[in-house]
Amino acid sequence: MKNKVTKRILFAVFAIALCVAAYFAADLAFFQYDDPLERASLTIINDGEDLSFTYDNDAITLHGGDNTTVYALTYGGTAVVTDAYTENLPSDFMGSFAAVQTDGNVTRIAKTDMEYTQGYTTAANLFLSDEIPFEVAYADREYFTVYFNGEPLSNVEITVTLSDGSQKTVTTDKSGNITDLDLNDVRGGLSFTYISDTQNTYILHYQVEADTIFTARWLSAMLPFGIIILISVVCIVLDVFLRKLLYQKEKMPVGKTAITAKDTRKKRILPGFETVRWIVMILSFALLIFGSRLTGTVFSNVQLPVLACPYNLDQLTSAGCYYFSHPDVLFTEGWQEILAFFGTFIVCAVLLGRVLCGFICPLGFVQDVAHEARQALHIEGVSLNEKMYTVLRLVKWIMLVIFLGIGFVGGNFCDFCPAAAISPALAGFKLSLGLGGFFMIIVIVSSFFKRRSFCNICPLGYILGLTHKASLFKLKKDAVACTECGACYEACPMGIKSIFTVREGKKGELSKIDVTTPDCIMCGECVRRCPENNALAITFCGKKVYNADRMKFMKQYAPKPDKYAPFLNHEKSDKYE
Amino acid sequence: MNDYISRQGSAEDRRKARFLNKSSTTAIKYLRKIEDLPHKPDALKPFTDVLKHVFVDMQGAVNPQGVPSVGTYCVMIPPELIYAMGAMPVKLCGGSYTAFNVGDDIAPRDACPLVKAIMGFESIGVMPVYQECQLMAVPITCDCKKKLAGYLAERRNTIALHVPSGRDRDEDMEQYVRELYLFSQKLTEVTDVELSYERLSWACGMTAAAQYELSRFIELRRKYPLAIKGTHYMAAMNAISYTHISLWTRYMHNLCDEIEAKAKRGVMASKENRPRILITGSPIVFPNFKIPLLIEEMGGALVADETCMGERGAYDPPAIVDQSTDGIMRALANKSTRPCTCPTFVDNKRRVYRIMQMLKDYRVQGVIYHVLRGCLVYDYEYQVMEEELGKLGIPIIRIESDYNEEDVEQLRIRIEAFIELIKYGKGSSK
Repeated sequence: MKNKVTKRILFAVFAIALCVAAYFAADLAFFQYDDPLERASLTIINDGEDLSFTYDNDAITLHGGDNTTVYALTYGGTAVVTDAYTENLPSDFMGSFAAVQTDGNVTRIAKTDMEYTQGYTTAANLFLSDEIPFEVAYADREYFTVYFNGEPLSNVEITVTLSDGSQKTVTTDKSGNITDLDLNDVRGGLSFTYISDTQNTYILHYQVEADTIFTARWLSAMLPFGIIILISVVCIVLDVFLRKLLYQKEKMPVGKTAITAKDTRKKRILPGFETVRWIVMILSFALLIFGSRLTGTVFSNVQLPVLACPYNLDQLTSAGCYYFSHPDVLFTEGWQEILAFFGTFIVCAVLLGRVLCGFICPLGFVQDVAHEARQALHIEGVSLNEKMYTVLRLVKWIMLVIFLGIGFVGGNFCDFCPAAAISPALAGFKLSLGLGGFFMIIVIVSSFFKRRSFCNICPLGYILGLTHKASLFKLKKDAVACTECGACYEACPMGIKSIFTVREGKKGELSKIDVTTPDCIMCGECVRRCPENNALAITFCGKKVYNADRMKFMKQYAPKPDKYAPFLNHEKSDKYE
Repeated sequence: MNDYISRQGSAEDRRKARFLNKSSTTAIKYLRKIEDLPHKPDALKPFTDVLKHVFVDMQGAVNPQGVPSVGTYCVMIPPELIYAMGAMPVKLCGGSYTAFNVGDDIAPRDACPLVKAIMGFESIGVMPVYQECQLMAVPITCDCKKKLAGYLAERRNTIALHVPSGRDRDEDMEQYVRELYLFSQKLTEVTDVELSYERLSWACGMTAAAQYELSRFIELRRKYPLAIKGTHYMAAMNAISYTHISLWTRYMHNLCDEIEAKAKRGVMASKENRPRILITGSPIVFPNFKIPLLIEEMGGALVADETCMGERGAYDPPAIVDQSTDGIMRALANKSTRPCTCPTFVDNKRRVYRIMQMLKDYRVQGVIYHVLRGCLVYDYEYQVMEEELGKLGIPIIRIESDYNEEDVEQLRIRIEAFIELIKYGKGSSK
């Protein structure tokens, strides 16, 4: 009894500590990049080229900058940059520059995107200043809006010159938007030419930051992630050696021997549901990190509810996790945004549910990779039981409270979120990491020893799982075919025990019992490890998509019949025969 | 034999010779009966040879040179672990009538004949397959096995494995994992082989090959009307107890190939109108094959069995989820206890379900519930089974037998009546 009370008190202390840590996550920095302002520098050169900006890491250069005024976008409005030195950049600089040069009846304008600061602002980088008569703004990485004298320019023809010299004529729509441009066209920089009347021609050169992948800049963005991986590896190695040391003298080191081993036996690879899952995971990982770079489009209306970091602007869709953890921000947005958010969520939750966790979530992918690494090394993991899962469930409640509530008390979940360490870094966005960096180390190390450990405490996954009753994917069990061998429970990364213990459906049915729980991520491991024909199946709209099969199960473990010979030769048989 | 006639040697020696003589005579008789059954596949010969090797030629288990044997008693001992530790498991559950008579003097009257036979073998000490075992592993399942463990421990190097009586709780399984680790340490003392991932993985691959062939065999046996006689496949399943699994795998592979080829040609082991019978209950150990033989002699088709010396003995594969030493140990503990339909467990709903599934898979028309005299746990579950099968309209008969041939005629009448009930009576619902 006393022990129980102590445990409860300890847990309460842990819960409060976690909440406090989450609140001050930004101050407990794991890795801090310099302030963009401190890194930034602007050089103006007169090299006779047309007025344009170029990037080189943190240095930005304005070419052909004769008789030009350079403006910087600040929170307070448009500011004039007097000298092209770091110190002289306005203190509330937002990252976008513009330069204007008037040459007779041709007005040349150059403008940069806001990527320079690597900041995330949902609003477009609009100057709307009198000094800049013609302006385009790039919104949501999807469309350009054209402004003339501060008003959207609708239904006019504009010639766009791409970086390779080719020209395109596009027409703006009612609200002044150009939607025909591919994101990859934009990357090299492009010019908009607008002839307002025979007298005046406006040419605007728009530059987003040049390629960020596989450059020195990308490497520096990867630095915190590299550090995380390094520390994780050190932690894992330390753990293995410590366990070996500690349990050396133990007589019964059940599950704690940490025996590392080599296996000479070749594994038979069988294509199946598991292969499909890995392919989908790899694809979605790539798309949720480099998606818009690969495809050239962004589906910003899709607010996919997975832990794909919204700080990464290159992903194919928007991340729904941001509004979940910042509900205060959500209700300041327009109704379209709110509708998109709830619409995507409902569609995803009903159609897919936690399939998103098992197949799409990049953080889940990273955890699975860590798990596979352990499988390849044959290092012993942590064998979890119900007690441990109960604790994890309690931690999940705390995480949920933090996730939904931190926005209201002035904190930012993103500083605490481990997912922020992967996605932006891989896409080349320099993101300073708060406590989330440390958290990511814990996630990698723990998922190395226990598969999908973060998924057990993931608040977003829990919210997605709430609608499992309406979800079209279901896990069905045939209690008569089942021998209750418990392989499914052992295999389940989420520790769902009911799948093994349920013997009868709610209406007393024995076959096609719905054993889907809010925790189920539809990874299919239970079906894969089920040795009984038809005992377990994943169904979509009532149709079986993945079915347990004894012969398939046996093939995972048994060598091909023509390879039985090594077993016979291993211990030579000459006594008999 | 010569000793017996010329009355040479001491009384003890003569007793032993008499024992060997008698038991080999019984074994020969039953082997001949098995071989005389029609539709015997040619590939069955290695299996009957194994039984002949052990029970007639009085040789040890069929294994490669230098592999020590470990005597095991129930399906709760994972063979994978023993193979991994460089030994070979030999299932010693006895079916010998001669040994039963010897054991009758040692064990109490109401003890089951299976345990009496084991005790008889142990006390007479002549069967090489028993004598060559360097370790006896007895899982504590029923009361008789518990006392057997004590009896063996006085004479032999014995380890008792405490099998949990429930299975749904995690602690039960973890307890059995501990038992298996202890068992592995005991095995290390015998074989000098340390527990390692590589050996475990190798052994699991080897048994997986056997179970793959067994699964193939099961799929083939589901073919209608009958791919192989029940008695024949029971002999094949009994042979696994005395054979190194790598050899057994090869025999089974050939047997499957033969049956498959025959089935393709449409050659079946039985006519269509034979009543299809499933046998469940107490284990049927060679040479105690009277019930399967009677079923087939009386015109029934023994399509399936749910006994631990039959299909059950090697049925459950370990699902290795975590590829590490501990992961495999957990998988082994899991597969040894959780899916087991042994009635010694507190809750055994899964046995009812298992039989229901088999009724469907093999299109069973009648169930023979075999109870060895004194086998209380199986007798208890008869009630449940009768009730459940009554709901499905499948007739079931409880048949009690002992290890002697005196009750054969009585059994014959009962089995014949049961088969006729299925054939002509209300029982032929399908």
